[in-house]
Amino acid sequence: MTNETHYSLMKSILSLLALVLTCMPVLAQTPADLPPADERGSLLIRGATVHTITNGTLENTDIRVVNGKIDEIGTELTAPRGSRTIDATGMHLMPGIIDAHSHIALSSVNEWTNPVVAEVQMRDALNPTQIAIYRALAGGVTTIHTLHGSANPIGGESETIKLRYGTLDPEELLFDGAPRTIKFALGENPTRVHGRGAGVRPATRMGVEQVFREAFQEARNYRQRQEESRDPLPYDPRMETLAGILSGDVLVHCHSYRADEILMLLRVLEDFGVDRITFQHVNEGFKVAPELAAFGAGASVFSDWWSYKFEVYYSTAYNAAILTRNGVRTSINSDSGELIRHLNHEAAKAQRYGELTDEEALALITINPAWQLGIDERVGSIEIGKDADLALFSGHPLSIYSTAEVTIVDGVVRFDRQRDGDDMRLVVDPEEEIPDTAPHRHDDSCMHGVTDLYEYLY
Amino acid sequence: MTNRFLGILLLLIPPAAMAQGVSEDTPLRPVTQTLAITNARVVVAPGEILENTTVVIREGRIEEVGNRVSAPPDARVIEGDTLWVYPGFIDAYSFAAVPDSVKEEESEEESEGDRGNPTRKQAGILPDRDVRTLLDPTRDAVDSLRNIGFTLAHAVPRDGLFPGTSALVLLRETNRFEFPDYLILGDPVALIAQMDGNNSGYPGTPMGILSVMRERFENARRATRTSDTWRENGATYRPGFDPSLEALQPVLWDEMPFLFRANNALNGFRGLRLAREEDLSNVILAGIPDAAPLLSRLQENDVPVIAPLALPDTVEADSAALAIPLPDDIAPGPEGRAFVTFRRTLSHRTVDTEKTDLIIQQRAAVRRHEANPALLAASSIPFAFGSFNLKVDEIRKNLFRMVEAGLSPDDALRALTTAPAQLLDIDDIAGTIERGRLGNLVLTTGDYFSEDTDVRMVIVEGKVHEIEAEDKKEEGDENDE
Repeated sequence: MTNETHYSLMKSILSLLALVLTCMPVLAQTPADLPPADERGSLLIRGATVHTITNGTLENTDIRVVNGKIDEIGTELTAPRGSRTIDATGMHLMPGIIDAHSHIALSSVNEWTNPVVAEVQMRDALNPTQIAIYRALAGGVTTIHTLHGSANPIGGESETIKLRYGTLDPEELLFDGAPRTIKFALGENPTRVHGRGAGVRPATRMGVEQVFREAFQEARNYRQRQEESRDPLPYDPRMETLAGILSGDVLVHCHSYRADEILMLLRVLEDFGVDRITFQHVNEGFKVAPELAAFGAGASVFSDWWSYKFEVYYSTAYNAAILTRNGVRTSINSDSGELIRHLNHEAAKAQRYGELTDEEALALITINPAWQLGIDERVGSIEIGKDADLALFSGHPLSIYSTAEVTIVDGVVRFDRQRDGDDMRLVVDPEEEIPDTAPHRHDDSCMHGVTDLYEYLY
Repeated sequence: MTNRFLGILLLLIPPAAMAQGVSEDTPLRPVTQTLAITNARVVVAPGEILENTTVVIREGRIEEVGNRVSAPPDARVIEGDTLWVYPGFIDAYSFAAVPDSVKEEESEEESEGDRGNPTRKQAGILPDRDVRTLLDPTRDAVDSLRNIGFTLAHAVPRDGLFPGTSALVLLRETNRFEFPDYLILGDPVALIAQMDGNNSGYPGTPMGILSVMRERFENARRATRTSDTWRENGATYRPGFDPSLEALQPVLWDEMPFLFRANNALNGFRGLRLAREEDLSNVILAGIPDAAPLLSRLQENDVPVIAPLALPDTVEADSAALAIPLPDDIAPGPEGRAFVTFRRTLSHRTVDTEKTDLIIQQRAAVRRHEANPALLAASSIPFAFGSFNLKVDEIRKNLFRMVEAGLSPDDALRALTTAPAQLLDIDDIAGTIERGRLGNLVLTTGDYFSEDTDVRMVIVEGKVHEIEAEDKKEEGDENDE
């Protein structure tokens, strides 16, 4: 072991021992004393190795945060009056991790009953009480894109939220000013749920294409009729959102796997004048990387997850690296309440499989997903004036030995490993059954809510 | 000759359908329409008790209340010397007189339709449904509710995201030759909205339901403008028959309250947000068992609440778990969240300790639900009690638990009487015992909030219902065998 890793290891063992031996319940955080969601904090982080993402890595550097924004980056900085100083000597600071594909913090994921549900908004289904949010914070994640599921070719509007855990008011999670996004899905999921499940279009990939074409054409007609009509026409929120996609006000994020369907959607978007899209999963993206780059599309991929159904067989762990090397702005996502807890490791896999540099790998979970979500002016890197969404790791974030120690959202510490309480649930169900053994596993995935159509899946 | 005579006789016998059918089931004509309860302890309003007081009811309305009042000569006298008299309780959210949902025999055909484009009925978009057309005040549930002191119910339609409008119904038996419909009191009360999705299609999720509600409101707003103009100026869009839009307009114009039923605080936030987006100012929130997270929003927007009478079951715990006192900070308060957070489960040996801690946590959560009405009272949020789906024999038990958890008996009585009367806009005729109010009274053997007290009589619009003393389990009976 190098001295550095030895030191980190010793530090971890010592802190574990200290924790166990001192057992200080007084310091443990409780849900009652979590900071309110509208608080914008000030603090000083002293002496960290700072991964700015856009301006290189700075050794032994201080970061000063004032009212939720990064105020200064330098050395020998002073803490804002009355605020906390975090001694980050030997630790690594990076921008808070951004997960571009998640389904946590939602009461429900799939309005699977119609192939097109553009009027539906995941904002209406936000659930700020899920413990998965806290666990994501414990992995250094500060912002997530929580999406409609992939049961429909055209799903609902997804929501970009900050993990301001502690509030019971769903509106306090919203990332103010984040662009609107919508979920599309290609391939086996929509064709099974609708084609096989209800005998309606789409039952095939060509059907999926026609759903898009027809929806976009109808939206165009709707807008045109509105402009031409003297009288007010009925308001159709589904058409309004679809028209918003055509005008560029709503960004498309499309669940996709196969190269042929990816190219299909690019053609459809070109035909209708839509010039921005981020493909999600896009396991065969490596086959069409040049086409994706030419379009200017983004790709949000898994590090190494495939073969769970036929359309995902032809995949590679080099996907993220190949896309990056071919000029596609790529991010790595979790689509899982478990993977979200160690996205730093997922990003690191692109170094093993593809030899991305540290900066390229870290960009996969910071500035790239920020760009894909249209929030890169606000978050995704450590620059003066950006939101103080930061993650402090015990070591280099791409090291398998590193853990997130402190996670900061809007300048407020929302996760502190030293003060991690044992039971951070915000709401305890008075009628829960307390089992004798392990708790049930909550399933946060693209097909959440439709697995009772089990015969049609996998 | 006799044949013709018989024929004429037959003609003189009126057909059965038109006969004044007096049978053994027909209620007797009452001897008098006047009632006097004499010399009782009368709780005229929460916190206002008059001793040795007489209440006179004539033709279903309270005529006089006072201790110098004497019973009129034509009155039936009920001696109230040992009795307490309360204003008849009002159930602010009741299904007692509402028949159960029609079981889906037609579901086979109905679900064959396009699940993504359901009919209005399948989707549950029925704001035009008037619960008064569905009511059955003769159901047994009405009798059970009356037996514990309820005299009026706010009857609410059951199913759908916009199930319809609600109405008031008197919980009494019908009089001689009276139709049950006569028990319905007045006009529709409120427009109901709830997170009840389409079981077999769109919309099936909270986001689907809310987007439908929003879309309906938006189009209801526009419908007033387009519906009259299409004929004159050759417009290309002809509005169709859509009663749901017209039914939503009274709410948009603040002519009718918007009552959003939510089963938890999270849905409460969603409902309040919808009301805010649609600019609705007359909003009632119903059904939330733990309203603590919503307090500031309720206060800001002047939203009254209908609190459920239901409570979670008390937690079964062994003596070890029960011996551990609940943490102090579970006292009601906006920040009071009860959690035992120090819990080190180091190995399988400490699993039992963890289970005990989880039980304590759960007990604290149950306590929060029990203390919810006390919290609403302390925060000055007007609230009324509703039975919702609760079995009637749980109601009194739960009221005792709530009082035990900090709700004052006066506040509890308020939530059963004056608060629902104000919320439902009937405080001129119900909620207190005063001249002019409906003759709705509950006669008990003592303080209603004492466990030993029984309800003796419930008088609804002057009609007396006597409650037989329950056959208590007596050792005598068992010994007789």
